[in-house]
Amino acid sequence: MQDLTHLAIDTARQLGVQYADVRVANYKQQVLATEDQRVSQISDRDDVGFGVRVLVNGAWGFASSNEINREEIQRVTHLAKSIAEASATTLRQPVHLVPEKTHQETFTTPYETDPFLVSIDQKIGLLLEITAALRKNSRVQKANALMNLRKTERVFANTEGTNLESSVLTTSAQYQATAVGNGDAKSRIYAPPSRTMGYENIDAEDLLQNTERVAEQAVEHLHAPPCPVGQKDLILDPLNLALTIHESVGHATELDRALGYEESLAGRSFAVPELLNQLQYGSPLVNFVADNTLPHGLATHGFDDDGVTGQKWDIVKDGLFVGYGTNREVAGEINLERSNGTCRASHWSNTPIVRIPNLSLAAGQKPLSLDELINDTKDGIYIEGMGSFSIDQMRCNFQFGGDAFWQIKDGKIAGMLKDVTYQAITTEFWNACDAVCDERFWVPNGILNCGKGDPMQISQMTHGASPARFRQISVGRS
Amino acid sequence: MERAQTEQILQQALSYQQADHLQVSLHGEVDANTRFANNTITQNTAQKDAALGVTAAFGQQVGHASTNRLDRDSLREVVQRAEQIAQSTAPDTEYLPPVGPQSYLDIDAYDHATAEVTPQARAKMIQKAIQKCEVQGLDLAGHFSTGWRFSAIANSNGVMAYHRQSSASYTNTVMSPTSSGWAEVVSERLEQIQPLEAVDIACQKAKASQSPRDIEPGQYTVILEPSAVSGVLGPLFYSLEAKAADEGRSAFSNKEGEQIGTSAVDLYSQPDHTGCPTRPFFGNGLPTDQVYWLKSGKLENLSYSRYWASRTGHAHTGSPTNMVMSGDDNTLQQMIASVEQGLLVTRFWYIRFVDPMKLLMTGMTRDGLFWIENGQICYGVKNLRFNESPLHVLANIEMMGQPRRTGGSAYVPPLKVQNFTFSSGTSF
Repeated sequence: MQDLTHLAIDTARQLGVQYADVRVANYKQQVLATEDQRVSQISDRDDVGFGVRVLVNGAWGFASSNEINREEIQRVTHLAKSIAEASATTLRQPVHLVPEKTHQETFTTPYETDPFLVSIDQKIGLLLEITAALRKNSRVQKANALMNLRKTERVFANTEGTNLESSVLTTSAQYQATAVGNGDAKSRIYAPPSRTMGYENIDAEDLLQNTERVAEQAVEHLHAPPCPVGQKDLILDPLNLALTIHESVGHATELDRALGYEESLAGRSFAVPELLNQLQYGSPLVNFVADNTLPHGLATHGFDDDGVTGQKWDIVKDGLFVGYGTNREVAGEINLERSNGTCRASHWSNTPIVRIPNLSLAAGQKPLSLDELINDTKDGIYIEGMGSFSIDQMRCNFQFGGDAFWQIKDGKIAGMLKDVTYQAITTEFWNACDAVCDERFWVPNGILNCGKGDPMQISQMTHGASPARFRQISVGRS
Repeated sequence: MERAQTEQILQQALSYQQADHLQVSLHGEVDANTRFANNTITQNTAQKDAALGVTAAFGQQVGHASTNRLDRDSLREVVQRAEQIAQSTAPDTEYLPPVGPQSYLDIDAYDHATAEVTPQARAKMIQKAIQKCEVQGLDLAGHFSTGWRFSAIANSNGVMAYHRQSSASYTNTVMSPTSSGWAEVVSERLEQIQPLEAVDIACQKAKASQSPRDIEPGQYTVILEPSAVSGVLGPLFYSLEAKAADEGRSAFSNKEGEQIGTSAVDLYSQPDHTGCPTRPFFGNGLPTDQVYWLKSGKLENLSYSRYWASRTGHAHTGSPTNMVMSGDDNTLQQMIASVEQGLLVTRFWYIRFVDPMKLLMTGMTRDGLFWIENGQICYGVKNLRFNESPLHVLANIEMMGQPRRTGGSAYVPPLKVQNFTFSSGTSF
């Protein structure tokens, strides 16, 4: 494959471009699903292609194709140059890439079992066993199970002399039980963390052990009283926090957004560079750490699509806003000497853009268990799992739901609620955080379907957290 | 890819059949996207792709595989892969054998000039748009895409079909230091859209909403522009599945035939609608046709898959192919003039379900929210979060305007709606 990437780079050099890179990628994906005792989906995707990005007269051009041969690589490279020349006609400020050393590396996800070598029969058998176990509860009317397995192989080269290869495996499985009655339907989901791992991440024993609990809680959810309207202390579990972190911190601290590059679709950010090292994003207990070296992290790919190696840095330190995710194009705008390597394309046909890194809420420093946190809460709601989510285009006003909602009365769980939503302004919410459980309770959940860009690009990243408490948050105003 | 080439590839794939049934599909596109922000082009891309999907079945055992390598060896490999998957899995009890040959609507949605727009032509238009904004001290961001896509299907029972469609879409956001305005134009033919008119509309909205005032959340009369209408009604179209309704998992359970909207509401899909055409066949080979979902406000049809239609005895409808809503002759100005106190909503953003059983949605207003008083737009106000159901919208329509094409294959009118619920506000 490297002879073809070298052809693209040599062609670009002959065309006299300032900079060029080429990515050749091959995606394999299996999606397997069952609905009750029916196999509702088995799909197996093989997708290969390449993209060439060039910088000409300070402006970008990008072209791509699924036909990998010498003639097509040369055609696409010429097309990318022509596109860049068109871009340059509107140029106000030439693109400047911050420096990056050249690299010659290979990255492979550590794994024990290649999920694509596990038989379809075994995988579907597990999902059918799960849905059958959920339907053992006679009050569960619908059971769904899903397995998603991905392998991304990528070769990257640029005109600076970098040559990189990676192979990343991503695995996940989850299921849902739905109870129906009284003109309503409510569900409960079990979704262990998706990770860059082999099939060993699909823990059959754990998945099956939780079916009885999940089925019972789906039924309890259906019959639960609705959410009260008012201010409540919220305790959010790591999975619920993953989505809240993603929307209110992850996207808000993408530097391209903050500089207006994404205005036309995803929007901008209230967290503009002028607020760097000034804004109290959260309470002093709040620390957000970006880490694209995190073992099994969903954004742990060795290097990004700028050819920058994975790094670890602070986004929020002791509550203070101190960092962004960057690419080589925008890093210089905040005087960084080096990009922190969060530039990724979701597909060979997409030009890379700044993406949220693995971004986690650091565990609390003081020993604190979830039980102790609940015991310390007089009037609150404990929310588990992901649910409804929406946030404005500046990442200020948000509304989130969840998957399961437990009323807390005088330090004890007092039954389930339904239809709970919480609403807040981002910085008010994170500044209301007064407790974070310790590292024993830290879980690296993640997002597999983060959308950004136009055309839309879907990416993945991990958001770890321990359970945390937020004082007097508005609930039930939906 | 032209029809003849797709048929050759599909026939080649079918020739490798070992399974009882084989269905093959070939989808591809040649697409170009120019993005701009801060009054300059920031991304400029072109892509070409085509992928073959194969569904193989031995009895009720079904496997699906796809590839975008289209040489003969890869075609053989992907068919074998689908067949191997099918042979190693448990049955799909809802699987039905492929349909036989069908008749399809003749839908002309391809324009060669639109398919072949150059990056230079897009850049030239964007440069004009930037100049329009710069002279007014405004910032422009947006997206201009042109290209075409094709879709072809075949199966072992004799189906062979092809459709191609060009597309041109220009969307822009114009910003002042305290406000933003937005507009889009979409068509299958570039000659039918006027991007510079979208620039003017967005500039006017940005200027008119500068220094937006605070507004309390609550229930308001709203004028929803077509993009806001397609945003809030879209989830209803995705929630019409008859199986979910029959199993009690839908807002439409036991609602077929009931009055959902006012008697003026007609909601339907029409693949050969000249304002938003779409392909004449479903993935399973059945023809797409006009289907009324709501007629005179009554829930006329839910969406019946082939399996659920056969099980219930209902006619097959398939999923909605596009979203069309009848309107009226009122201009937007006439609609605004009819409002004593209320809000004009340019569009919504980040619309998500809160409660699918009530079709309760949440989302934010964006890029132009205006206070109307005594029939006049008075000033811009800060954005609001809504928590509202499209069912409420359809039941509380007071006035409709002239339908217009919006993104997402929708052709809908502006609506005047009573008692639309906003639950919280934001800082801009």
